[in-house]
Amino acid sequence: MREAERRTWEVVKRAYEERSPAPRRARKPLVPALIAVAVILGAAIATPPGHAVFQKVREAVGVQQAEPALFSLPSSGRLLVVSADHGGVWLIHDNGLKRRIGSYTDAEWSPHGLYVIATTPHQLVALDVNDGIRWTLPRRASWPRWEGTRVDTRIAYLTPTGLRVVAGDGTGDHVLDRYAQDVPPAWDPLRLHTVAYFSGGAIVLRNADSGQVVWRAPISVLPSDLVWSSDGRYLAVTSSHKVIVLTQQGRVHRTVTTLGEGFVDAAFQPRTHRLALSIRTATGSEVRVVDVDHPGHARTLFAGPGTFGDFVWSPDGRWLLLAWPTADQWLFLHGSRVHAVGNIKEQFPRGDHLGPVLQLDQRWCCTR
Amino acid sequence: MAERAWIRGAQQGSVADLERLFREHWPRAYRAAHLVTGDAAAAEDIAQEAFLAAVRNLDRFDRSRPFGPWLHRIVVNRAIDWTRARKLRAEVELGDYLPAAPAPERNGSALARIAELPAEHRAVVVLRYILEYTPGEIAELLDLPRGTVNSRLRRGLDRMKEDAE
Repeated sequence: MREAERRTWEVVKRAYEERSPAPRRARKPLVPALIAVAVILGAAIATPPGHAVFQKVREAVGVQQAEPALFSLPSSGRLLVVSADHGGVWLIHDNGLKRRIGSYTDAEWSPHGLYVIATTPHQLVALDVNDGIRWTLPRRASWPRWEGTRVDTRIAYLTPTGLRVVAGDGTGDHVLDRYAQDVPPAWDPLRLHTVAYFSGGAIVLRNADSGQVVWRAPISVLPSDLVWSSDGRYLAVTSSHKVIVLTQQGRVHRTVTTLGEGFVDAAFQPRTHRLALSIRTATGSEVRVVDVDHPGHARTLFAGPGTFGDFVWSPDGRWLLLAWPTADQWLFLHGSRVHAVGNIKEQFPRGDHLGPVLQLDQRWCCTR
Repeated sequence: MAERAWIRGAQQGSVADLERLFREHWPRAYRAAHLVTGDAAAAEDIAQEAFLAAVRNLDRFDRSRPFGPWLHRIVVNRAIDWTRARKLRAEVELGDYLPAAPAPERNGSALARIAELPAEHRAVVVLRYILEYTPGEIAELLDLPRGTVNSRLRRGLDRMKEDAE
């Protein structure tokens, strides 16, 4: 109990220090911005004359001293950015160079970052980001996920008629489960060509070639995402208010719940069992990191007003890139270090007046 | 009263006052969660979430009201939810996939007999006899009619007596 108390106090203290106003304390550079925003926002919204300043204040939310543009990624690798609702797909190199690679609705890397699997409203498209399209399949595909070795790969994707799998060269396309539901499938990092997906109220782990079911784990939540740890020991099943962590045998290892808050995103830090969780709270948003091997040992990585978008770990696990649409910023988080990049909307223009909704999840890949 | 001063201090940014508040209330919050859930890890998570909720709502907290009942309301309700969810999972025969719930130690103590009660009864017994709330306060904490609290207390105690015999 002493140990539990110590762990909890660390988490509570950290959450307290990172919340907005702390008038008597010496503040980190980040804090004053959030304080000003919280205080002025309250005043602005409360009074009709305040409406005039409200928009300006809203635009001021975020980390001070943000870079005006993305000049480089802090770790090696390349990043795919999907701009939802017809905004297209962008490729960002670690030196900051970026380009729009097409009007795709979704895109994911191949396991070694050599190719990209993308979707249009009517096609599944495999492409080389430098040399163009390699093959296409006429499918209304969503959530494509690519896995395998350098010489033998599979792509799982969902269609209105179930979960399908195709080889990396575009051959052997077949239905794996016609009852699979609309949750992104997730390949097992340990067992080749073996995919986890949601079907019939259960998480199913199944070999895509033989069709053999490895295990089936009924769950009591409607999942929104499935996320493996990089060593394949754990599979996190996320839902709006609960994250169920399964072992590689499909047994429940741990359940993470919130109190009336909502989970937005989850991702295991590479080569660890630390699970980053993006959480929508009553007053804003938070990113917490939970060690699934040590219950209760959670810490708040970042908290701020408004809404957080997707996040993604760098391939080396050192940085967490967090989209913060409310602040029009991207944050690169590493321990207590926060590196902010502003003017994100301007950098991913859509060709219309709508702000982009940018998807990053699992799209910061290995170097070539 | 010291607690009000700690809350005021915490609202004004004093980590020391927040820590005093935490140290004062942690043992009972954790103990209540543990007694209702019968699971140490879940109890830690639940108590931690309750304190995080307190931190998030600190600025809005009414200092004229006592902190403990507010915290215990979160802890006990959350612990009941957790226990129900575990029971629900067990009912759909997940035995092949889920680890069995750790069996409470059957050493004949009052605490062991509390662990044998249904979650709803367990919660009111814990609130009444461990945290020492009155039935009226428990009714308010759990949003229950006073009569329901009394009947759950009575049935809970009867069942504990039966287990002891």
